[in-house]
Amino acid sequence: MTDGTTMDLMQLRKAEIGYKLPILPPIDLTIRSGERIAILGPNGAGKSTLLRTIIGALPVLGGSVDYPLGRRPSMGYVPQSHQPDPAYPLTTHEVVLMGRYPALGVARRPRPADHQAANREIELVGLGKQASLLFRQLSGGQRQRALLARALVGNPELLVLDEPTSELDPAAEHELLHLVDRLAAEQKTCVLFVTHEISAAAGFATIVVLVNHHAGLVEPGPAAEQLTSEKLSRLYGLPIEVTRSNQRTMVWMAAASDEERP
Amino acid sequence: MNDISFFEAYFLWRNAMAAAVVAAALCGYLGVFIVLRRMAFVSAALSQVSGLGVALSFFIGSYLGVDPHGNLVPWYISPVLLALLLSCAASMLLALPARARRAHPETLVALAYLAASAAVVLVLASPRIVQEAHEVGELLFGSAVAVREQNLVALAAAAVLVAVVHGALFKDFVFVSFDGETAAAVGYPVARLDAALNLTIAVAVAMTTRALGTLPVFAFLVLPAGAALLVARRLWSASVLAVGIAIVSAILGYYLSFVYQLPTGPTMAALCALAWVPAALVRRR
Repeated sequence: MTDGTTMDLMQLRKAEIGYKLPILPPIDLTIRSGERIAILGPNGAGKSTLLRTIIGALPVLGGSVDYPLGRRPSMGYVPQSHQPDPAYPLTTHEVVLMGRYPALGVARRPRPADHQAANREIELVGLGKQASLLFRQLSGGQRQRALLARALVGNPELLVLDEPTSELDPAAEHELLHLVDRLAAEQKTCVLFVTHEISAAAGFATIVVLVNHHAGLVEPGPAAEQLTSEKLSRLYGLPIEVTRSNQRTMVWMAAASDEERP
Repeated sequence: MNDISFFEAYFLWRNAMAAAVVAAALCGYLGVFIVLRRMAFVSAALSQVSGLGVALSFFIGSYLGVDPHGNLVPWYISPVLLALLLSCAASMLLALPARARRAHPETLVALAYLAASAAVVLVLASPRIVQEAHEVGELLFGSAVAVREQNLVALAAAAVLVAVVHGALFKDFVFVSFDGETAAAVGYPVARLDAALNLTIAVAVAMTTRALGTLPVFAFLVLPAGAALLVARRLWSASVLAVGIAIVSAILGYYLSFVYQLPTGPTMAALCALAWVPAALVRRR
């Protein structure tokens, strides 16, 4: 426990992650309820490997993963939008209902309360009119909202999103992150998401983990301290400028011509 | 044309028709998972591997002086058992996680298919089973028109087993098939459920191959479900439609092959393929 309102859900201590050999330096990271944690880094940096370790799909190669609650936190997961196969003739309701399966368990059928919870979550993400449509008939943004509803319908303690906005346009990205922020706050859920988009981390995260295994870098810290020109330039190997104004963070890459200009 | 009518010959086709209907229903239903999981050629490979089990039983039987087609067959050379064992083993190997494999999944499926097909031909060419080769060939390639009572009972038992397993785990099979990554992330036993689903497919393929032959089994596993998924808007309706198409193809195929003296398996397979025509015409988004 940290104080009266937040709880430690998971602690990585000197955790070494990778498939056979560690790909990043040992990491210390505490995941607490109510936090917004972004795992930020370029493509191929080891973000997904860190994510897979946190969700328990990969064992740590060294160090430890501790659960202060005495168990793994309950988890909701939003995959990249292309991951679920749209060929399946499943309705939005049927997809969202899957979020209740982990609590139900294998070989047990959903009860009326599970259907009601799914309908409620579908309304909360604004897909009430699309509940009986096939998942494949939804737009990219609507599919991600349906997958978000599925992740939240089980009232998880930890909501994990794997590059949730990578295939969305800026408007849909903003809408989805705003929705995640609002719903996670209502349900007091910790949000952990992987992204290679600095704007997503800057506008949303309270904690940012900078990851780049090519640079031997894995560094968690408060978002305000992490999203600086110096650290982001080191992370991406490019000159990146960060300015803050009226509680907004603006990030842009300095073009090569800017650097060369006298 | 035959000298006796189809219905007068009821005693000849009763078991075979019943076996075809049960096999069609079983394969038609499982086909929905096979098509959606994009494992059509896994079913073809399993069908060939099952056929190898049938051929091997005759090959081993020739060394032991036992006819596996007879009534007193030692259990260890039972064609059904060998087909079942090889099919289940192959399904487990082909379902290994990507990290445990050294080759691309499609390459392994092709390897299983080609190795089993070649082995069947080599076994059938063996001089030791030259007398049974024609009979074994009919069993494997889908010209079998006579099914023994015991094979029908075994097939029905397999169908009941698959029905019970899928009745209990249907929602779980759909979840891990639709989005295995999420299912694994939230702690669902994906590997065990995948194994259970693959085993039911392996059992069904082994038992139906023994009864009908490889060609109609492959056709029943892929074509009705593919056609049904073109038009159905729900998973349950796709399953019902796939089973319906498969059963109609089995009955009509058997009837046409009897009346016009056509090979039974290919006639059934051709009718399954024909179902794609109306399905493609009425396809809905």
